[in-house]
Amino acid sequence: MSDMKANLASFTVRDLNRKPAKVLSTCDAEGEVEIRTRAGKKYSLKLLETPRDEGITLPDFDELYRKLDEAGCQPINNPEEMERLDRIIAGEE
Amino acid sequence: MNVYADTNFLIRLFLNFDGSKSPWSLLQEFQTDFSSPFPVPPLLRYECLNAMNRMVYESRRSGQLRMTPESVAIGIHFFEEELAKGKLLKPVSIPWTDLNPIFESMVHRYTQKYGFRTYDMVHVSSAIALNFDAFWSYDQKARKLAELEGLATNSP
Repeated sequence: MSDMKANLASFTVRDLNRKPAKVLSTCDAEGEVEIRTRAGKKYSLKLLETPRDEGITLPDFDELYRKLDEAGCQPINNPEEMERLDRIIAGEE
Repeated sequence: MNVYADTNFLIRLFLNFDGSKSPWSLLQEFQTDFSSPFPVPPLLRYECLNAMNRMVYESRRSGQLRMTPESVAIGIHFFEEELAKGKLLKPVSIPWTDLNPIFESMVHRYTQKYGFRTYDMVHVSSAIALNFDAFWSYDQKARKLAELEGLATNSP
């Protein structure tokens, strides 16, 4: 069997048991790590797949604001009143 | 970029009660940078629903705000629809056992010095428990707490 790559980060079976997050985060960062047993066996742990970011999909808020206007919503522009509403939202009033 | 948006941000986004459309502009600006939808734990949803309805009460009671029951119903419907779609808002459940150590650590480090609110600490703890890297709010205190915890925040 061919030798493991020389520059792989190396962990023990004990690391795998006690510090799995550390082993996996290294694997995430480097793509592959080596696991060694006391008997001298070496295994390879590889990252096979990373899920794609979900991202976000934006709805049409301009359409929402148009509907709010039509339903009689009149925004405020008074800073003091805004502060009061912020306190209400924060549960302070 | 993984962003946690708090109640203050979401209410402004869905009701536009300040007329600025500022949260909407921010979303458009960073649209391609988002790695995942905004997480909405039950507490955040409850706060949003109550705060949106509270706007009707406040409109009737005093002030310049004119938020009709119809407009709030439209905003809530849009909010719930987005939550169901999961493309902008995503329902999440964060175990209290994950939040406890983060929340308690913040209480010990900050409350006596800064007087942060419980809900702000719950939301920032949630962002950290989810391994998110940004926290968006138009509330100065909430942003301050998030910044102390190393989260990126939006400009006011």
